[in-house]
Order: sequence, then C-alpha cells, then structure tokens
Amino acid sequence: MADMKIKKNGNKNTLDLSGELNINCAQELKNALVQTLKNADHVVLNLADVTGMDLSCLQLLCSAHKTSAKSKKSFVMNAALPDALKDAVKRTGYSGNFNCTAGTVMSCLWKGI
Amino acid sequence: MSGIDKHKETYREEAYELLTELESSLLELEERPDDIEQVGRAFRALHTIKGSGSMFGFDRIAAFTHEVETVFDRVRNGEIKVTRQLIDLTLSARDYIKKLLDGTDISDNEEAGEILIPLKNLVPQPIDKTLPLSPAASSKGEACDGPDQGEITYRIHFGPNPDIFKKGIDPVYLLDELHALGSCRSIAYADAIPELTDIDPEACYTYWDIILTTDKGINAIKDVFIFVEDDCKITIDVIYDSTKFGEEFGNKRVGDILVERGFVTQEDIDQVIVRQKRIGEILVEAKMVDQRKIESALAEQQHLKEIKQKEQQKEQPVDVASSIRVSSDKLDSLVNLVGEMVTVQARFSQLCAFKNDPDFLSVAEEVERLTAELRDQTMSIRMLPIGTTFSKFKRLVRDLSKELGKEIELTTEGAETELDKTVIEKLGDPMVHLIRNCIDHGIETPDMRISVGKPAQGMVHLSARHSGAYVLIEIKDDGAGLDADAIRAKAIDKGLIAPEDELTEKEIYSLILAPGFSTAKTVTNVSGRGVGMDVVKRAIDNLRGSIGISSQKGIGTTITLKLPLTLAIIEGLLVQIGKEYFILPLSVVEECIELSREDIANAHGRHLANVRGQIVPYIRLREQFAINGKQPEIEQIVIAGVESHRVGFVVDNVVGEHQTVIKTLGRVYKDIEGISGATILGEGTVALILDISKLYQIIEREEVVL
Repeated sequence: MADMKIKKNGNKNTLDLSGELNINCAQELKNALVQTLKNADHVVLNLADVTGMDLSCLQLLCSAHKTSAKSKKSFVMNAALPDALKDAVKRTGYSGNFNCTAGTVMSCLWKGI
Repeated sequence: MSGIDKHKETYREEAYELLTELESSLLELEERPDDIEQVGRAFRALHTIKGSGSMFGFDRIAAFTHEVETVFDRVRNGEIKVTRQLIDLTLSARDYIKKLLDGTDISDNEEAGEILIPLKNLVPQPIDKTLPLSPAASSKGEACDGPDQGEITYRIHFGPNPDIFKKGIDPVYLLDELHALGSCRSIAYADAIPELTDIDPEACYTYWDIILTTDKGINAIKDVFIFVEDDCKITIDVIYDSTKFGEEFGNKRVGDILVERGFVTQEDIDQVIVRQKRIGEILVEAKMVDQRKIESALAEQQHLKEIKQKEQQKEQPVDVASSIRVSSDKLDSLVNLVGEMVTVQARFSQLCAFKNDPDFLSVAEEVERLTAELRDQTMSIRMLPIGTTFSKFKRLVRDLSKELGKEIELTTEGAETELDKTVIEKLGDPMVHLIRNCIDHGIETPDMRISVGKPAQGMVHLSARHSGAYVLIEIKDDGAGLDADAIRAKAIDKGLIAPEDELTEKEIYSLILAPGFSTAKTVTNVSGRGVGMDVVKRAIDNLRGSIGISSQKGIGTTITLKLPLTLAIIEGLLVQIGKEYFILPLSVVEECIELSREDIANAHGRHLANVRGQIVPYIRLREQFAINGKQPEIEQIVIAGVESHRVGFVVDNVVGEHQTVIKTLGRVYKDIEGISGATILGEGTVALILDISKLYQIIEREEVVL
C-alpha cells in the first residue's frame, strides 16, 4: 500500500512517499506530483520509506523532474535512497547518467545509481 | 621494502590463500572422493604454488610441491584413487609447505621424506590404467570446461506499445527474461516521457536498447517477446558471432556503431572527425544525436570489449587477473578518508541549507547521494565472505575429533554472508575457542551417545546470516548441553554468586563467560583451563558484539554471536539534550514518541510510558549524564530494542538521521561505560555515541542495588 503526503513550508513543498508504488497508484502519484509542484520553487521528494517502484511510477518521477527543470524549480530527492528503489532503477535500465533535462542545470535524477 | 622483497611478500600472501584453497578442496574431496572438480582445484593450487615459488626463489617449496603435484596429476588422470591416506598425506604436505612459507627453521629433510615416500608409494607400478574416475578426467587440461557453445551478441531494440501496462504486461519482466539468457545490458530511453500535465500515468513511454550475449540462439530471444511482438517495435540484430567474425570484433568504434544503427551517416562522421574531439562529444555538440544514444553505443562498445576479454581469458586459462591485490593499509586509509569526507559533506549540506540557495541545495543533495554511494562502495570493498573462516574450522574439527576419539561432522550454512575484514580477522580466535569447547565439552564420545539413543556421529553446525546492521553467527552442537546445576555449584564455589541468589537459566549460562570459570573435571590440552570463555567475551565486546547462549540438557547448546557489519561508519539517530548532542545507533531504534508533563503526572513519577497500551520503561538521559538546564515542555522518547526488551531514552529533541563516522575516544576514556565512541558533526561539535545495551545494564544494576 502506497502512502503520499504533501508538506508545504513557504515556497518549499515536500512530498513524502512510502510503501509500494506501482501502476495501481500511478494516477494518484501524478496528482500528488502536480500538487507538489504547484506554487513552490523548491520541491523535495522523500523516498526513504519506499519499498518498491515500478516503471509507471519511475516515469512519473522523471516527468516531474523534467517539468521542474523547464520551469526552473529545484527538484531534489532525499539523499538516502532505499535499496528497493535503487534496484528498480537498475532493473529498468534507467541507471546511468543521461541528459533528459537537456539545456538546464539539472542532471539526471538517477545519476550515480 | 625492495622490489624483490615486495614480490616475495606478494607471493607469500598468494601462497597462503592457495593453501587454504588446497585444504578446503581436500576436505571436500574427503566427503566426495569422486568429485573431479575438487581434484582439479587441488591440482591447480599445487601447480600455482610450485610455479610461482620457483619464479620468486622459493626453491625448497617449489621442489617439494613438485613431488606432491606429480602425484596429484596421476589422481587427475584417474591413475590413483582418492583415499583417506591420500588426503591425510596431502594435508600433511600442505602443513609442511606452510611451515616453509612461514620461514620455520626446518634443517633436515626427514619430515619431507615422511610425507613424500608414502605419497609416492601410492603411485601404482606399473601404471594401472583401469581406474579412471570419470571420462572427463582422462584428458589433461581444463576437464571441467564444457565445449565452446558459440556465443552470439545481439543488439535488441524494444519499443513497447504505450498501452502495454493496460494489457497487464510489465515490460521490465521481459528485460528480466533477457537478462536470464546471458550477459546483458539494457539502456532505457526517457526522452519520450512528456511533462507532468501531458503524461498519461498508465502509458509506457520508455524504450530500450539491449545488448545481449548468449548461446541460446535467436529463437530464445524471440520467445521472450512472443506475446507482445504484434504491437511493439522489436528489432534484433547480430553484432558479433564468435564463430564467424574475425579480429575486428571488440574494437568497434562508437561512430561505427552509430552508423550501423542508422542514427547518423558516415558523412556526418567524416565531417566531424577532423575536429579531433571524442566522437561522442562532437556528435552531441553538433546535435546530430543525443547524449543517451551515445551512451547506449558506448555501452555496446564496453559490452563487446568485455566479451573479448572473456574469450581471451578462455584461450589463456593461466590465471588472468580479474581482480587486483591491494594492501589492507591502503584500504584502511581509504576508509578513513571516506570518513573525513562524510563529515565534510555533512558540513557542506548544513551550510547550503543555511544559505537556502536552490542551486547550492541541488548540488548539496547530489554530493550527499554520491558520498553515500562512495561510502557504501568503500565499505563493500572491505567486506569478505565468512566462508573462508568456516573452511579453516573444517580442518580444526577433523583433527580435534580424531585426537579425542569422537566422530563429529561439521556442517555450515551462509558461508557467503559478508562481514567487515577487521571483524572477520578478529573473529578467528574466539570462534576457534567456541568450537573447541563444543567438541571437547559438548559432544559426547560415540559410546556415550549410543547409550543415550543418539547417533554415534555428533554434529557441529556453523551458520551465519544477516539481521539488519548485524550478522548473527550460530555455533550449534547436538551434545550433552549445559548443566545448569553444575554451573551454579561451580559459581558458588568460585564466589561468583551467593548460594541464596536466585538466577534465571539464561543468567546461569552467562556465568560461563566469567573469568576463571570451568566445569570440566579434567583439563585436556583442548580446553578446560578456565581461560578462554572470558577472553571470547572480551573479544566479542571489543567488536561491539554480544554473545547469547541457549541450551537444553541432553539435546545440545547453541551459542549466538551478534556482530556489527562494520566498525567504521554507522547510521545513527542524532538527538539533543540541552546544548549537547548524542548519537543512538539507528539499527536498534524502533520508534520515537512524545512525552508531555501530563504523561509524567499520569505515571505518578515512575519512569514508565504507555505506548499504545504497552508499558515501556524509560531512562532519562538528562539525569544519566547530569545535564543542567530546563527540560522542554514536551520531550521525546526514543524507543530502542535492547536484549529483547523495549526501552525508552528520553531526550529534549530528535534531530534526525546522521551518517556517523565512529571515532574512538582514546585510552583515557576507555573505562567509561555507556559510551562507545564519538563523532564530529557538520559544524564541528562532538557528539557522543551511546552504547544502548551498556546503558541499560548500568540502570538495571543500579536498580538491583537500590
């Protein structure tokens, strides 16, 4: 079961995600990301309690990252990514370092994994 | 150290490892005399010890090993059968080689003769060719390697239909199936993913380039895509066939691969090549191809290079190094540097948070993530499987049981469990002592076992497994078990406890860890002198571990060692009391709850909290460390699991998780109980690391006195 909570603090919004993120909650995750990006200059994703993530949700995080880059918002994940998430990134072939946010200062969300 | 000395030292290190390899293969062979793979392993170890020995001037070792190797070559060819005598003699030969390596003064050749003469006598005269162990063994060389299946490397482009999720198919499972077919790399493209407002969360926008080397054939690949091939874009190209291509393979340039894939034309390449930059950089700058496509081509290039290297290694089976040997000092200094870097990074993150500049914050987060990866990678370099230690014990059990006239089988489990190198090194002696105790005191003689209805052969089982940030090592025997009454009587006799003391069974068992304790009526040269168990306890304490003992009379004893995975860096929970900071190891923290004045009043002054109906005792760290100042209205209780109890530790404020680089406090503070070390925080302050279980014991002791 996935859980999503948005915390607003001035111009910084934090989205706490936990549990198993998969296609069943993809629409909910999209809505949460849209809300988190709204009226914020800094967006923080807290993924420490994520126990798994499938391709549909990974795509949504990439999409949110791309959207933030275009509107020049900072978009960061908390530093300690859980192993389950790292495994999901490696398994889908997303790991590495590529330039999906070309033309902005942001590097790939999955750099270093 | 001169160059030659350095080489000699390297040879010695290698030879010790090869001797361990030889010993473990011989012990395996003893259990399964027909295992031709083990014969090959033993032979290869002997062969390398001899070869490198003569190269580095260890002539005596080379000459002696040559004789043993010659006999083993006959075993490999099926001319000599694997017998107990052969194993015994080869094990003695292994010990003799070790003595020569140690530099032990062996002036006469008598011992060598005692081993070599009976060993040579095992060679049948004339050579009896009627005893082949298996058909594969009758030819020389790498008998275990199968015939070359002819591996083919494919480039697969997989572009799923956007609706693939809706059909209930996860394309990642298809990637998993491809990975199962052979050596495989997949590169995902994310460029088609739209922005958040336009994205359909249930559509697949990702597509892949996959490089796969397999001997299973193209049909096996097609089978993977059998259910999706009609509405997905799938192309499969052969990029290397080991049976058809010549030398050019493995040397393909990125430009060639891009042209082959149709991303750019040869003309594009020719135009940009004159600029003398890396071809990938030039193409990206020229916007002819995007970065990810270059990376995909580089991945293919790398994959082909690796396949080539593997093939070369197959052609030259003589130990092509896939790893390098680094001195442990260098590793230690690397760990120290990483520790310093973690501290500096924490400071950097704090400064960036203070500045609150989005660009700095973004960089700080990235540095933090990369540092965490670097830390994990560095720690993993120091990790060794515990199996190497386990195999040493096989020999110990074999020799000791023979000496004591007992029949004992040693079984192991979880040999692949990894532990920090320092922990493994320091674990050897305590483990030897525990196993000796099992064999000497625990397991009964065969006659006695039969009389109580047990099988004549006793069992010692070693197992290792991970449990959070700890490794649990169990030493279990099916012997007589601990005699609680005898232990109690002895403890009273030694003045360790008073006759009227009432102790639980667990407490009685823990008495055997006290200095000078032994219940054995006879002292053997194996154990029973009463020195040892306290030394074992001290060694395990020094490793920040603990010992658990459980036993059933007549059934057996299990000793469990709980050891931390690493001694250098831990994940901690940073807490604050007044102006002081403390760290609690995160591995024992279960939850944090609030403690209000009202809660304290409800408990009538007793240090007890009601957590969802369960009563949890707590310790006020403010009182424990005599910190003055006013406590806040609402305090925090950090609840930790200590020796199967839940205990709370009251602090003013929980700051958060902290990567804790452990610094020792120095000799002056070594006797302070309840503190296991210190760490330096981002702004330079020192935070003490709490030893939770010690703190709990102190409080428990004080309460008993009261």
